[in-house]
Amino acid sequence: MRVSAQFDDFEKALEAHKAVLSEAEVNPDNIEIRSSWPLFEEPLPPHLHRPMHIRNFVRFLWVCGAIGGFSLVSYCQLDYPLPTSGQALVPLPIDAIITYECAQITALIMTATFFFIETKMFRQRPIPHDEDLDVASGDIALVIDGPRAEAAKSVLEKGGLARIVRAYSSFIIGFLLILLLSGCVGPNDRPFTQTWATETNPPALGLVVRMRAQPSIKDTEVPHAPYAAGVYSMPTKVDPDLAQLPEPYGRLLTPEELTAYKKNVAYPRMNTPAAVNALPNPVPMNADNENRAKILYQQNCQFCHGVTGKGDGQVAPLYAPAPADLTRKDLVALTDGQLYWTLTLGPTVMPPFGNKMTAKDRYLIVHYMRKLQEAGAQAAPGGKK
Amino acid sequence: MSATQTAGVETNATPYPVPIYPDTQWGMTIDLDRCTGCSACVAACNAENNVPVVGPDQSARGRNQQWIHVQRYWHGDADWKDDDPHVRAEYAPMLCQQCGNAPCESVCPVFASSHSTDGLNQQVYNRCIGTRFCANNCPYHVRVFNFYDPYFPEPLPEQLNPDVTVRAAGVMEKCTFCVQRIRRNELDAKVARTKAADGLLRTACAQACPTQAIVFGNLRDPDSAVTQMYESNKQRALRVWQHKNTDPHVIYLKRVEENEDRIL
Amino acid sequence: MKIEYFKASGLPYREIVERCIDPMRSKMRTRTMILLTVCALLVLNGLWRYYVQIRLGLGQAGYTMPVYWATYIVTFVFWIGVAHAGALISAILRITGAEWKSSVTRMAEVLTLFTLPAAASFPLIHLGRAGIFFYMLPLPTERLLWPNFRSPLVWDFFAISTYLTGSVLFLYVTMVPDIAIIRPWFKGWRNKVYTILAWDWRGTQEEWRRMKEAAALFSVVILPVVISVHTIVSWDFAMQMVPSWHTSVFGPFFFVGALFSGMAAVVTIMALFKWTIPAFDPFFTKQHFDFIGRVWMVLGLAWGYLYFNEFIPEYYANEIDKDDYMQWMAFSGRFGFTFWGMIICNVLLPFVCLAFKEFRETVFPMFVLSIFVNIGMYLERWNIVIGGLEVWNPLAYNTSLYVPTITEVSIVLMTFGGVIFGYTLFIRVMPILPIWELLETQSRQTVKEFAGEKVYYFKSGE
Repeated sequence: MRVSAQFDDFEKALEAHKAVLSEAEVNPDNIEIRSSWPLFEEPLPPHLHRPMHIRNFVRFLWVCGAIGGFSLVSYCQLDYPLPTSGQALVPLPIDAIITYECAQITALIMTATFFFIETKMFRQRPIPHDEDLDVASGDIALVIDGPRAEAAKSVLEKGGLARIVRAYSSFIIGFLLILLLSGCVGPNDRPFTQTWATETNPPALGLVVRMRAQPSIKDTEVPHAPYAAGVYSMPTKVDPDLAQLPEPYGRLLTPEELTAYKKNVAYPRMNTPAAVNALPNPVPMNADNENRAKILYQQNCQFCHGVTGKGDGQVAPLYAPAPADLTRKDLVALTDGQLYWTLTLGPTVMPPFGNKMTAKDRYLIVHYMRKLQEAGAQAAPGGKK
Repeated sequence: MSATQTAGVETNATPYPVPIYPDTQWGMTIDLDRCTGCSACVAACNAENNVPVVGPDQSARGRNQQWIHVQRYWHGDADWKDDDPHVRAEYAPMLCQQCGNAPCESVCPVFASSHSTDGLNQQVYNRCIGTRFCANNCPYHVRVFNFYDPYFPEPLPEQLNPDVTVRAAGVMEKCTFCVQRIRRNELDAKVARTKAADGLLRTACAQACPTQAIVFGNLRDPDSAVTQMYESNKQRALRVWQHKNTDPHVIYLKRVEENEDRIL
Repeated sequence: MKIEYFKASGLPYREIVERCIDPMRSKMRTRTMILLTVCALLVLNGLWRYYVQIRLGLGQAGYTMPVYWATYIVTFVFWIGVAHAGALISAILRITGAEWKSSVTRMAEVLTLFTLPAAASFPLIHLGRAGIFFYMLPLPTERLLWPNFRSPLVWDFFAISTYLTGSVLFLYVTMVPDIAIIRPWFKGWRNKVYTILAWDWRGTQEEWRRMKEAAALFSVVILPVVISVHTIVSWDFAMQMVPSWHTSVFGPFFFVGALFSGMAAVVTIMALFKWTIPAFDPFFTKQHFDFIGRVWMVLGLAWGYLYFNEFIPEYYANEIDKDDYMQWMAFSGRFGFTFWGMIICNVLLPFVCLAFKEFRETVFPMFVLSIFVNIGMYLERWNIVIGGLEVWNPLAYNTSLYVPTITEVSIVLMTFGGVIFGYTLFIRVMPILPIWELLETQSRQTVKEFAGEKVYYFKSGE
């Protein structure tokens, strides 16, 4: 049984409280005074006194927060591998600031947490859900519960109370506070990627630019220079249709020759059809062409095959089999067409140059190779190296 | 130098701990007597380190990106005329001083600016989040910020040095004493199992300087050129803003004047 | 000396409650809608400019060679200063037992609630690579790379997040009884929301005891936090070698400045409440303005002294050439307006005006003065940050003059719009006056009368 009464005057409420205690002999534990503002200063009257946990818990947890903050900073500073220089700008220990802030934030969060927990979980008496009083207007309510509630009711009625309200149900849901700590815990690499901004490729929307894609060109990359038009990567296969010479520098392969070629892609030099091998070098050599041939050799061949074509280029030691000595007797014996097709389709390790250079450029290189071979033969007269 | 000494800092009674460099301390002497102000060092540094050109508009906003710049000071009376024979310009190349007690290092929140065991002040581009705290704190104003992405129109990317990261927008950069050359030198020496020779390693600015005003080397090596330079010119050696206790590793050698009153 | 006791509103309890919830129940007026629209447009414009800044880079802001920190940092410090209003009033006035605080506590805390995130957004906005801002946080990463705890920016993160957490908690905990009070007045979805937020509050005396205990704990704990927050923000500057910043007086100077500008913000809002919400009229009396004016004046005097003090250590240390600095700041065309404007707004006007009780008790002059002081405090931060950096060119070689760009102005206005927008909406949704504190103050006066103490007599109005 539950009885409640509302009063619009503090004095009347206190008198009714006294009356209910003495005349109706209600246990003080079963009376509750409710108000929309705190009625009593410290110290509370003895029958209203309840033990408080909050203060000591918060003190304890403040200390925990301080220890936690100090540990965090100390642990984080253990890992520094390098002696960092820099003036000691702070006369206090730096740890003190972080420690202090961690202690304070722990105290704040714990104060709020324990406030909520204590007001809900440590009530001395559970409040049933079917009760709600309208103290919203500034009234003061007395709620009497337990075995003597009926007696209390009659006492209150006798004392001329303002009104008695019955309890009615209300729906209460509680929720916890969410901590405000920013943290996107994750590995160092975030999925914000951005390719390098170029003229034709403006930056994508990324909050962070990663510097993984660099515009500088590494040693092993192909330079994207205008003379190798439209080509930016090393192909693994040559499209044989591209290896055709435009007229009048050659003719198209017949279907039989094409089939034969495709079957022998691995070692085309050894297995090119005879008609192919018989192709003459159609590009005439004049001063301009000679210059260009030299430049092409320098830019495309020299780093493997060497200045004199002996296979002693800078990067030659990296490859197996090693870049060929172009002045070798059996290479000298090859026809122009064979040299040209080798260059186009690529022998063993050397990449095919068919779709990296125009046919004319390849023929120029063949010319230059012949020049090197002549020079090699003159340098070592009468025999192989 | 004792090789058993480990790198670290030696604390003392002052708030400025002394860094310890057991073997190597990279340093530089810049002889102001020899500097002609030609800015070859600037061009070499820009080429070596992929330093972008910001353009006239950004330059007008004071956002030059040069890791080394030649400061020009006019010496003469305050209101000089154009043909005043007593007026002349004096030049001082200013670059990152690689301070032993670098003020930029302690203020970076993410340790993008840190110190190496051989005396370099390292800037880690991929760690930098761009707070620009370090640049505020540098008294030499040698730290440069990338306000925009650098623009290298074709075919300039082929000129870029692949050993040096091209920095994106939002990161700080500064002179690194051509650390890529230092490390390459050390690696080559390790592969060849020799000690790195002093003359082989030069920063781009030192390499390009036509008058050999910039000498770079290991200050801990008593036989290196830079130590000899410093020792033999001690009476005209100065470090910029020495009293700020930044312990810079770039030593400037003052100009020698005929008239003793004008030693600067 | 005659002690002035604070006189409560003297209204019946029910009327107090009805007046407090008046803005939550009334229809939105046209002028409020216009204000909200303008603020929303400012926010959207700022967001657009920020997007452009992310796309293109920080070059969109006006930074130059020595001036690497500019408008964003100035506004950051300004908002943190305004955010100190909450702590000053809630914590300090609670601890000192000032009874007139009841009208203004929650209003100041809500101001903190909105200005602090606005301030905290600036260290992110001014980053060159904002997407990896979490490098600054002590999160366990694969490489166990921790931030540099020596850097004031890392301290900033701890301090501001502590203050924000504490402020939010403080605001909510003390708002729980109010939400329980207003709950029966509303129906529908609002009733449900308030039911959830009211956390099963019954109004028993145990609960009130715990509430007062919690409020006391909060006040005591948040006070050192507040002191530390702005001190740490000041150390962003004081820990650098820039000569006009490198003094230890920056700590108390900024703190006092924050309280000063916080007070000004509170006075602005008080005056606006008095004019635009007629229901709040009895809660903002002449006495309120008088008392707040006195605190304000003391803070202004302290600020003036500390600003003067800021120059002294630098002169003694011979860090800057005093002729140069004063020339640049006070007498050059460049900073003349901001410097003298600041002196007038922050020192001259408050000292002269607030010394008179007649001035303090009148609302419109106080409002105008508070606007001036806010402007003056913004100018002060401007002088310190941008003036300090521009003046410092020790090698006399590279210095450039800083000019703010449209991006920076837009983003600054975005924060202003955001704060005003949030605040205006908050008033309509939550009780901006602490109802239970007003009732408590009122009841305490009634009880004092009954106990026969010598208080200012008033009609109880029941």
